[in-house]
Amino acid sequence: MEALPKADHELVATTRPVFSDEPPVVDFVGVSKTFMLPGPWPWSPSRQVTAVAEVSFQVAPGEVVALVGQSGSGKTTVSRCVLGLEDITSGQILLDGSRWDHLTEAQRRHLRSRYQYVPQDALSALDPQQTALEHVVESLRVMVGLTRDQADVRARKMLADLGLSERTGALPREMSGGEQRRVTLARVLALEPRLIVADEPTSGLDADRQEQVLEDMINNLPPKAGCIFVTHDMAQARNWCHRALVMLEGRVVEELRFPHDQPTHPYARMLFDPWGVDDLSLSTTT
Amino acid sequence: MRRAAWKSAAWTAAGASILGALVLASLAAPEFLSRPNLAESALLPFTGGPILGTDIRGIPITEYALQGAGVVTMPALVSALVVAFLAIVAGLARCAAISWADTAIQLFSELVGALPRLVVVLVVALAMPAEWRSLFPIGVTWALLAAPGAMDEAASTAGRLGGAKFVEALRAHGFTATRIYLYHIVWLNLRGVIVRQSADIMMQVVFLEIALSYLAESQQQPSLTHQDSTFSWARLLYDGYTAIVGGLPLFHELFVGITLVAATAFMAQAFRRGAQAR
Amino acid sequence: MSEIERNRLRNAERSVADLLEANRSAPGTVLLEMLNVSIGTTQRSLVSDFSIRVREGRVTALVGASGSGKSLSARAMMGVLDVDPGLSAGSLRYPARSSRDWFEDVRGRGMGAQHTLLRASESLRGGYVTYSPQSASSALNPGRTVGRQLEMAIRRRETPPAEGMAAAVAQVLDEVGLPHRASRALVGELSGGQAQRAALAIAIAPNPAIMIADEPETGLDPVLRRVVTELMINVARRHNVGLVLITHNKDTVDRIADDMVLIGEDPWARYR
Repeated sequence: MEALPKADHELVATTRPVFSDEPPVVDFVGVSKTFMLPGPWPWSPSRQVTAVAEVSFQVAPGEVVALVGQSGSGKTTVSRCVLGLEDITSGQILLDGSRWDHLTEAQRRHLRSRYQYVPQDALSALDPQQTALEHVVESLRVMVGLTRDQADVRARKMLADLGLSERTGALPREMSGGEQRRVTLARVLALEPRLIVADEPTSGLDADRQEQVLEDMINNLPPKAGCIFVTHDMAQARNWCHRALVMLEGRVVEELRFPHDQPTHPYARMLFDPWGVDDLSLSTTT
Repeated sequence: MRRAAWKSAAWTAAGASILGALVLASLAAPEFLSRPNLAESALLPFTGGPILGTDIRGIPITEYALQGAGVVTMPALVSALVVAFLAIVAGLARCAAISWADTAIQLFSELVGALPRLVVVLVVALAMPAEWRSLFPIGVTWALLAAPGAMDEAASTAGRLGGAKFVEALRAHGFTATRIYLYHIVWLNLRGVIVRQSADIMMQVVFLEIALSYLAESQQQPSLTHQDSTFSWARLLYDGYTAIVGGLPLFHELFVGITLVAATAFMAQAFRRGAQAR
Repeated sequence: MSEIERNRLRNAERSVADLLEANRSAPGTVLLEMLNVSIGTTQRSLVSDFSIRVREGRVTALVGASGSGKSLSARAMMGVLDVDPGLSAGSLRYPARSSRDWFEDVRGRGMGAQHTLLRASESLRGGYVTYSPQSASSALNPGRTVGRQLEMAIRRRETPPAEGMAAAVAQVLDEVGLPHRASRALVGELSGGQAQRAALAIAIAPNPAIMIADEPETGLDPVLRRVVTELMINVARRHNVGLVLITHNKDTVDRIADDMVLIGEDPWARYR
C-alpha cells in the first residue's frame, strides 16, 4: 500500500460502514458469459470467446467494490451482466435475494429505479435537447412518481449537492466532460437506489476531476446502498472502495480488502505497483 | 417558459394558422365556378363587389383561390406525411441496432436518390389516365424521391444522439421503450428535422403544382394536376400576368396569386423556425 | 539500478523549488528558450509571465492543473498562437539555430501577425520540434498505414537516411518495440499500447531536437503508463532530445524529470 500515492482524504474503507450481517444487495453466483464471434467469411465457423469464467462475489449493503483489471480482463462484461445489460450463459444473479437473471425485461423495468447503471460514456446517456434540470426532473417524475413541483425541488437539491446549481439550465453540449458526468450521476442518485454499477466513471477526465467525480458518487450514495465500479486504477480502488476484485482473462485472481491487504498474485502486484515489479509480461495491453 | 420557447410557439402558431386556413379553404372550395353576367361583373377590383374582385370573365377571384387551395392542400399534406414517416423510420432504425434495417434504408436511399426527380415526376404525371388526374400521385412521387435526404438527416441526428448506446443507457435507467423512442428520439430530437423536411416538401409540392398548371395554361392544354372543371392558383398568376402585359387592369388578380404563393413559402418558413432544436 | 530508479531517488531529495530552479539555471545546451510569455483574450489572461528552457538531452516536466494553459503554452513553443488578441509579452528563441526572437513581430500585433508566424515557423514543426497530442489516436492518421506515416516523418530529417527508407522505418519500429509487420497496419488495427508506441515512433522519426509530449499517460492503465514513460525517456536519451513532458502525475515527474516548470499553482501542494 506504501507504493501508492497518499490519498488526501480518509479512505472509504475506513469511513463508510458495511452492513455485512444483512442480506447482500448483489449475489453473483458462478456466472459465466461466452460470446460467439463470427468468422471472417459467412461460411467460416464462429469462435467461442469466454469473457467471464465462473465469477462469484457478493456486495453487502453499504459496501463499495471495485472490479480492477486491464482492458480485456472481463471487468466491464461482469458489470454489464449484473444489471442484465448482457445475458449470462450460466450461473445466477440475485439482487436483494431475488433472482434477477430469470426476469423478463418488462419485469426488470419495474425494479430498475432501485438498481442503476452509470455508463462509461456520459454524453451518450444524456438527451442533447434537455437541460441538466430537465434530466433529473424527468427521472423523478417517471421513476418515482413525484409531481412536477416535488421533482423540481428534489432535482435542484441533488444538482446543488453535486456542485451544479449554476448549471441547471445548461444543455449537454454546453457542459464540460466532468459536468456531463455529474448530471448522469445526479439522475441516478436522485432515485436513492439500492445499487449503483458504474463503468469506468472517471475515464476521459483529468486527474483532479477524477477525484471529484468519485467523491460525488460515493459520498452521495444512500448509507445502505451497494456500489460496484469498474476501473483499471488500483489507487482509485484503494481510496474509494472496501474491496477490490482483480480480474484477468475473465476470472477473479485475487480479492483485496482495504486498507490492509497487500496483493500477492503477480498480476495484482503488477497493477498495484507497475514500477515495483520487474516482469510486465502478464500485461494484456502492452 | 424560456423566451426561445415563446418564439418557437409563436412561429408554429403562425404556420399552423396558414395551414388551417388552407385546409378550410380546400373544404370550402366550390366544385364548379359560378357563371356570372359578364357585363355586370367583369374586371371588378377589390372594392367593387366580391371581396377580392373578379377576373375578365366576371368570376370572383375568391373562387379561384379556394379551388386552388383544394387542388394543392391535401396532396401537399399527404406528401409531407410520407416524408415525415420515412424520416422517423430511418431515425428509429439507426437507434434500434437492427443491422439489416439500417442497411436496407441506406440501399433504398442510394437507389432512389440517384433517380432524376423531375423526370420521374413528369413520367408519373403523364402516365396517369385522364380521369384520375390529380396532384396526389405527383406529390407522393415527389415525396418518395425527396425522402432519402430527409432520411439521411434523421439517421445522422439519431446517430449523433448515440444511437444504440443512448437507447441502452435509458433502458438501463428504467425508461420504457415508448418513452425512449417516441418522446426522446422522435419528439425531442427528430422533431426539428422532420418538421423542416416536411414543411419543405409541402412547399415544393405546391410550387410544383403551380409550375405544371402554369405550363398547361400557357399551352392551353389540360392540366396534369387537376380536372378541367377545377382551377389552380396558376390561373391567377397566368391570367394576371398576361392581362397586364396586354394592358388590362388585373393587378388585383396577379397580386392575389403572388400573395398565395408567398403565404405558402411563409408557412413553410414558420414551421421550420418553430421546430428549431435548442 | 535503472536510470528511472536513480531519478526517483534523486528527485525524492529535491523540492519543487529545486526542480524549478534547475530549469532556470542548469548547465547544458539550450535548444529552446521561451521567456516571460503572456497570452490572453480581451476578457481574461490565459497564460501569465511563463518561462521555459529546454535543454539537449534533458527531460523537463510542464506541470499545471486542468485549464491552466499547458497546451496553449506548448503550442506557443512551436510558434502556434491562435488566441485573439493573443501574445502581449514574451520572447521565443531557438539558440542552437540562431539568435532570432520569433515573437518580435508578434507581440501586441494581433491575429494577423500570429498567422504570419504560423507560416514562417512551419518548417520547424514536425522536424526540429515534434508534438504528440494527448491521445495517440489524434497523432495518427486513420487512413494511412503506420509505415507510410513513418516514411513521411523520416523525410522531414535534415539529412536523408543513409541506409535507405525501408531500413530507417524498421529501425524506428525496433526502437519503440513494435514488430516490423506493424508498418503495414492501420491505426485501427493496433491495440492501445501499440498505438502509443506508434505515436512515439512518429514523433522521433524525424530526428527532432525537441519533443513535446502532451499528457501521454491520459487514459492509460498503470502498466501502460510505466511502459510509455520508460520508452519515452529511453528514446529521448538515446537521441539526445530535449523532451518536454506535459503531465500532472507526480509519480511520473519524480521518475523521469530533470527539471520542471509550473503553470498556475502547484497542484501537489496538498501532498506536502
